[in-house]
Amino acid sequence: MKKLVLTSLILVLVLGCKNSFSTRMTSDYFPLKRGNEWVFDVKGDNNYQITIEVKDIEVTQGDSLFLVDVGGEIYQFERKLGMVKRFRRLFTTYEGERVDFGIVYEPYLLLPPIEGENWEREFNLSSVHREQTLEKVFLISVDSVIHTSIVLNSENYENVYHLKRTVVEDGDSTVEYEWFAPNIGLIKKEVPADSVVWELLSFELNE
Amino acid sequence: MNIILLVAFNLFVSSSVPQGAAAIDTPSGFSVMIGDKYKVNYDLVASYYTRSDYEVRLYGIFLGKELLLGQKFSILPEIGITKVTRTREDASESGFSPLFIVRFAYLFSTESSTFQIGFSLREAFNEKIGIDFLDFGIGFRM
Repeated sequence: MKKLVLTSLILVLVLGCKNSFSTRMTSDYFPLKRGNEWVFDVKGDNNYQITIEVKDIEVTQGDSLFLVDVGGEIYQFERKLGMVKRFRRLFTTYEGERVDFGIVYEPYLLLPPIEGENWEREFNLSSVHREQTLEKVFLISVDSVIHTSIVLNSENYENVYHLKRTVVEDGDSTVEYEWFAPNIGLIKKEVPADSVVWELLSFELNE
Repeated sequence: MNIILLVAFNLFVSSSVPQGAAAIDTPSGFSVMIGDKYKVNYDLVASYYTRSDYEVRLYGIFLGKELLLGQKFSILPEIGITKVTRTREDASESGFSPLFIVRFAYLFSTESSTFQIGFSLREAFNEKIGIDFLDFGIGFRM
């Protein structure tokens, strides 16, 4: 009987342990719920704060579209099993007029993140404007996914995934480095070309 | 000392609920159990299953005690440590994690005292790594 009690106790203790791998296996690295809010300290030529907030959820044909306010600009994300897609409307300005190329579904994040993976998607679009065909090339590439830890504002974040995101639009390339923490989401972003760094100041997540 | 060797090969249909998302997977595996019938059992497990968003491989060693219910039924609760690898395309990540298994077995009556055929029902789970699957197996014991 003593052995049984001891064995049961060991089982409970072992099963209760939470290790790093368990955290990475089950955590949500992009929690989207209405009302979730993250406040970032943006450091660059000008220092200011920016708030990201999940404003609303639209359900269309069974899919949920999350409307996320990023400093006043609405981003649209769709969450599917294993992936977050960002809906991005592409346009260009031609002879002073805006030419629309429609919406693309950009593979924003693969979930759960796995170290070493990368993904890429290229969109070749065209639009007829005043009897003239205009073309646009849009490419998103994500690589260098690694898990790491990072200290921000004296707070140590473990099991963080870091990635490099490259967006090429009409030949112009933009590189961003992003850090995602378990059950928090984005905690840091660097845009080297603009010498801008976003760092998480505070966040509030709804259960 | 009475040594019991159970060799079972299983083709499974299971349901797993990782990360709150339900999925039907088709894992398969085999197990070898060596131990005394009334004492501690050791169990080696290799299992593989696919999800729609990644693949999981489990390798582990388990320890448990088989409880016999009459001549035909047995319950075997086990705790084990597993190496878990999840893979998506060319990327993979591994770690160690505990896993809990409960195996129910039904053994057919045989004339031989050293060879039995039976069905098994096995539930393997650990919510902390999002693994929860149910196996149906057939095997033999000698």
